[in-house]
Amino acid sequence: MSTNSLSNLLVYFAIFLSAFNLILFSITLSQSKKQSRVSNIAMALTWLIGTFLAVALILRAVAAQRAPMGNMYEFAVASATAIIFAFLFISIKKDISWLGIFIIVPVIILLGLAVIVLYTESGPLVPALKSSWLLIHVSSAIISYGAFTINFALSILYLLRVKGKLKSLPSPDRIDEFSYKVVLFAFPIWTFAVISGAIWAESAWGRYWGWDPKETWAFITWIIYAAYLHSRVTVGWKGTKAAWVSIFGYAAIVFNFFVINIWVTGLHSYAGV
Amino acid sequence: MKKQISAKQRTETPLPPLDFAGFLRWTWRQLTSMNTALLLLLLVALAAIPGSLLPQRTASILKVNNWKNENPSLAQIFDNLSLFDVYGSFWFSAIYILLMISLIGCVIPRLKVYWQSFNEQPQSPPIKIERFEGYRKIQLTNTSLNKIEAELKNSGWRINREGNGLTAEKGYAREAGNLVFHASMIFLTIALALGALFSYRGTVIVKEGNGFANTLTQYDDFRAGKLFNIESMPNFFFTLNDFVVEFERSINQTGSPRKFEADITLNGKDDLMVLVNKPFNVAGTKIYLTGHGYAPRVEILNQKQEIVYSDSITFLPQDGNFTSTGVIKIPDEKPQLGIKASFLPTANIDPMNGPISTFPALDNPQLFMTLWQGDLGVNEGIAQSIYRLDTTKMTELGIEELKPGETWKTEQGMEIKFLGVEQFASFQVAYEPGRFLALIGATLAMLGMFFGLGIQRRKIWVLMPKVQNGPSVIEIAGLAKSDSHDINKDIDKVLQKLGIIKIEKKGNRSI
Ligand code: HEM
Repeated sequence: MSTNSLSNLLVYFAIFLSAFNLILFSITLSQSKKQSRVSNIAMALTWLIGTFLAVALILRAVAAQRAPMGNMYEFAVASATAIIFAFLFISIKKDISWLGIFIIVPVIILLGLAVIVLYTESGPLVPALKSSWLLIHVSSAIISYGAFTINFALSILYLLRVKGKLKSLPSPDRIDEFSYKVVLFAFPIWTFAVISGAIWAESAWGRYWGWDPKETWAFITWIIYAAYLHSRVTVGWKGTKAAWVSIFGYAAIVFNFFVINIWVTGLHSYAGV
Repeated sequence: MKKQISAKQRTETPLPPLDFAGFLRWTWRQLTSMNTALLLLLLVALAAIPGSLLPQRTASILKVNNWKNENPSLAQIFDNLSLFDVYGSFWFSAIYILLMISLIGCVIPRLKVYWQSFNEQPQSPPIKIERFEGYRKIQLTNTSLNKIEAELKNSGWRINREGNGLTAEKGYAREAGNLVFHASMIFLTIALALGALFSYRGTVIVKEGNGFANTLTQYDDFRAGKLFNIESMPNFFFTLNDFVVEFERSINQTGSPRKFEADITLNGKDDLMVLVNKPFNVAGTKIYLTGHGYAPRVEILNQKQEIVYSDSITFLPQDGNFTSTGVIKIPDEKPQLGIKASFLPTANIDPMNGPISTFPALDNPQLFMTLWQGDLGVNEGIAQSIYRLDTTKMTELGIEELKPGETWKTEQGMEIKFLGVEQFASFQVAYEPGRFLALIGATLAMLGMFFGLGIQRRKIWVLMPKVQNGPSVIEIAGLAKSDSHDINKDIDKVLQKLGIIKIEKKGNRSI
């Protein structure tokens, strides 16, 4: 079996395990805290999913002899991996298995789209992408996407909790605080991703900022999350409104990734769907 | 559900006072309030959207014109609203200028407050601290308040000692970072504006064997900021000796470019290799390789067997396989002649779309031509695109397809020879004086944000009431200004350093 098809197989395994994990996590959600056996299994399984995805990416890199971030398929798989690992790293210190189901769902959607719609055989890069800035720029974007996804899940949960739903979960205030901390981590990395993108654009196209659709949406995303940080310290905005601002921020990320990459042509549309 | 308005919310937006000075002060306070900053930020995000969905003049005038032709009913309205030039429009500028004013109005008073805070002592501890976060009451054997004070001072806390209690404060760098961040946003915006005013950028197509000299007339497209001085353009010229391009041939991602390189000679003496990500630099002006295409060479003889045209023509690529279109105009013949042509590097016949190119390299090059005779419309004084043939006043003479080396003998006795194919490369020449400043601004912003978001402003109080007999007791509690910080961590650290056993603990959090 070629490294490439082994990589694909691992991604399929990851999807399969995630689907199974969805069941486990939904059981943990309905259980009281003491019965944590299922949740332990679910967390162990999540580590396995993370490992499969990471190995799949490494194999892809080996097959193509470059960083596995050259087209939308690889970008989607890498983002799913980042979501899983963001979740796992937090879980080392805190018990957040109650969040699992809300992390696994976006991962399944993302991986599903990756294998069904976005699949591209691995191959070398188009010349415009051949730059060490690729790795720096794209990997920082992916890491912050992973964290922003967690923030998105938490914002939705916050809104549900405020409405009095899902009583077994932590209190709305704690979810809100946690969700803020995640943005504290993700936002500077996203800022760095935008800046490194500008540096790369300068070295490839001779301008660091050209309001290309992709750049514009990166800017919109950035501004919305900056507004989120402000909303946290503004009277009358904290809580529900802040949660909505962060949901809009995430909507901008999703729009940039799916709509702009696929339907709108700009300099960036070499994504190779 | 009935909404209750709290007293706090009601006082949030007081009505403006009636006198003029009061009104100004009120306006200024509103403009520089956090609420306004937040709304302006969201407004900038919203305002940036249309420019990403509609074609923009700054990116491609051609696409704007196409869009306008396809949507004639909206074209004029959209144009009046500057929707094809969103990022230079008055309304977009208005929003970000308001944001900048709000930002300046926010930073300056805070700078003042911050400056004063250096000379101020932390406030004295409250009398009852058990209501606060992380409160503990601890029995001591061999510690004094002096020892605790020294220990806190060592770990960088600023201390106000008052009798039996002390306040320790930390995290002043948060506000400094926040201020640096916001100040560098102003700096960055100024750098961007300067860049836009003093920069220039042009594109030029150069055929293999030909050259380019950096003067205005040689550009295909040239844009300069309002304050750019044409005379200050640096003098240089280069020739494109050779252009090499390679495409992926395996089934996988077939046709994707794998390499393109331009071999040039600068100012007649320096040989350089220009790659896509490797521009060359002449006196601050950078020259980038941005694209390439084919230039078929054609020779045309009229009925009298005179050569009326002999040149290679740049054809514009239309798709990833370099199906390219081009135009030849011969205004000096009477009646005038024109050719509309497509060039296919790897020609194949598609049953649906007719002839198309199926691979970008020159595997099976063919030239498809339509010959026109009549009035080119070039004499009316209006500048005409060299890539467009206006056939409204012309009649079609015939259609032919040629391979390199073949000749088309028309019914009228003309001869059209397809001699061969050359390549061209397109270059972008860019001078952006603001870029270094912008990089400094962005770096400072990153740095400021690192401190502004990473450091927490917090205080700890320690009380040590005098006791007559028995072991002495200290009370300790704290307060973090932002709710993302757990003050327990600081208290734990202090107690750990002092080697004190904890006896009471409250308010630990799981997430
Ligand atoms: C271009 C416009 C602005 C942008 C992009 C922006 C962005 C940011 C960012 C990224 C942060 C978090 C980083 C840090 O604390 O260092 C922040 C915090 C803050 N900003 Fe702004 N800001 C803008 C305008 C303003 C204005 C006009 C005000 C004043 C009304 C303001 C007041 C604050 C305050 C008080 C914080 C601290 C929030 C906290 O402690 O979490 N900002 N801003």
